[in-house]
Amino acid sequence: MLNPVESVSGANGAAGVGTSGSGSVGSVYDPRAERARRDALRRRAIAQDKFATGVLTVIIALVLAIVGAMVFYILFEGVGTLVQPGFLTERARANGTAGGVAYQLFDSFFLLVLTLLISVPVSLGAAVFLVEYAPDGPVKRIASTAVETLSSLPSIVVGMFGFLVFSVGFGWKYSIISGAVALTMFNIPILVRAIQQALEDVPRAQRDACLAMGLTRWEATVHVLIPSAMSAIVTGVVLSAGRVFGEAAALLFTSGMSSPVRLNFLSLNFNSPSCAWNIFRPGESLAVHIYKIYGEGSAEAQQIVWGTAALLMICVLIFNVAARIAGRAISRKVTGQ
Amino acid sequence: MNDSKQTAASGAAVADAFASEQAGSKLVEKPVLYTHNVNVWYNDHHALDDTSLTFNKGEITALIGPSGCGKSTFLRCLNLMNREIDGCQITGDIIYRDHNINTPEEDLYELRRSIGMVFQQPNPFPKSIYENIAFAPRCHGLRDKASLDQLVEESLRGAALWDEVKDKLKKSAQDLSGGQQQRLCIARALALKPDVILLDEPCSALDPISTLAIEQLMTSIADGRAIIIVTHNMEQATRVSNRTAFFYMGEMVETGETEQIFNAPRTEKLQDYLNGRFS
Repeated sequence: MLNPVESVSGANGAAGVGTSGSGSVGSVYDPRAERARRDALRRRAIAQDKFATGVLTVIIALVLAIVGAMVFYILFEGVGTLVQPGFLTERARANGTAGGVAYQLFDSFFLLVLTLLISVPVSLGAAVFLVEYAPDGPVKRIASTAVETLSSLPSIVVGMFGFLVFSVGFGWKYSIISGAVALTMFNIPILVRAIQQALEDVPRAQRDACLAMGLTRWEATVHVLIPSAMSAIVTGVVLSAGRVFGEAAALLFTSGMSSPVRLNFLSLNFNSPSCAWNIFRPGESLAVHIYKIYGEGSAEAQQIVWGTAALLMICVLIFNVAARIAGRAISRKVTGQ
Repeated sequence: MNDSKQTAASGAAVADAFASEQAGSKLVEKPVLYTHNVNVWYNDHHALDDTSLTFNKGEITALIGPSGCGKSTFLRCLNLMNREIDGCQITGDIIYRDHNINTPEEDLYELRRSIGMVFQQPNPFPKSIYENIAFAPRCHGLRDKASLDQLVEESLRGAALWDEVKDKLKKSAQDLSGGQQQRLCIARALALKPDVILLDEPCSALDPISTLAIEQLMTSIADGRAIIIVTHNMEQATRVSNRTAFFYMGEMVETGETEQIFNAPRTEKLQDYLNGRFS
């Protein structure tokens, strides 16, 4: 009597062991274990997400803190000098260690305007050619590589080249035009890339629509593509202006490290070395001015350095804000009201 | 030089053959546009094989077929837009107004003024509604303000858009709805007074109501023009077209009256396609 029961229970037991054994390798579905496993995975994913968010927040906070600290420190040190009467309107005295930075401010803008006058048309032409005309092939590749190489040249090297070619070779000596041309070489690759990007972002459909109406590539470029890209182009130009405005190294050997002792803004005698508008006179940008007088050491000179730094920084900030405002305004104007 | 002479000669031969073939048929007017053995290669890829089709004024022709079958490629041959693609080569004859346009000497600018095109995505220029229409005619030499005003109104009326936009002609075209933008693109094409209009899936980005508006519009602009429409929507083809051509794998498989194509397809491939056996 007992035997069969025993054998049955034995069989049951064996079966039980079999099930639990196969359960451990996953062939039998255990909802509770499965849910626990998924919950654990889920919790881990959420924890990772929280951790990543935390790390990224810290990184961005760090970046903001660095920028904020720099801006605050420069303003803290410089605003006192900046707001002194005459700092922006008086010329430098005693080789820059006293007086104001009026001439340096003027020269910076003079250099900037000349640079943009040369570099914007050239860059626009180059970008239009690369985007609209150049067939995919060696010419386009070589031109693109050349632009990239130019953009990664150290600006001091551009300055050396400008000195040897324009100041010495062309006999322009230390002059505003020599500096402007050196800055142009520094600026062209940045602008070409910006304008190229802006033109490439105009939808292909706009181009096709023009061509399908019997317009030439040139008509399409002038009437549709450039206007469509205009806001991005202007933003690019103004942002590059900010970089040009703060450039020092490329100017050290080209436009020189001093402005004439006295500039005459009313003179239209463009050959006179004291005529403010003479492009063949030497000039000194704000950034070069900082470099020059930083080594002077006297407390007054230090004050002027900080004041000039604050002025430079504020100008660049204004350029950046202006780039956005101008970009938006133009995009509104071009696309109708 | 020799090549182009040959093509021109064969074009003329085709035209003659066509004229004699048509002499006994019921067609009175010569077709405005027809193709003979058009082939297209994208580099080494043979995208379209020996396609011959005829398009008459007053008729709407639908080009149907699965994706990648060559129907859009064929459409883009008719105004030689394919020439804008690097590595694309078109052979065969495309006879428009009795002369072969598939020659290196063909004036693309002149050609595309009389063969209009509307694209899949509405693509108005980022300009005002008025400028969208006036811009191309002005580039082509129409400078007179009064004539331009009149042309803009005419074109917008032609595209059934005038009543909706007449008070905001100076507003940006990109603020219009998708359907309105597409009708503006049709108006823009009409402004050049084309006698052939190519539409490349013009409704595929639009809602049903805008689609209906475009379909009605197509019927009204077909008067005196050949309309050729590429569509994925077979109901649309039956609703708007007089003739239909079915493309499959780069080949024009079957063409005929739209009713025959959908009710009594002759080829097995078309039957399979209509039955949804492939798409």
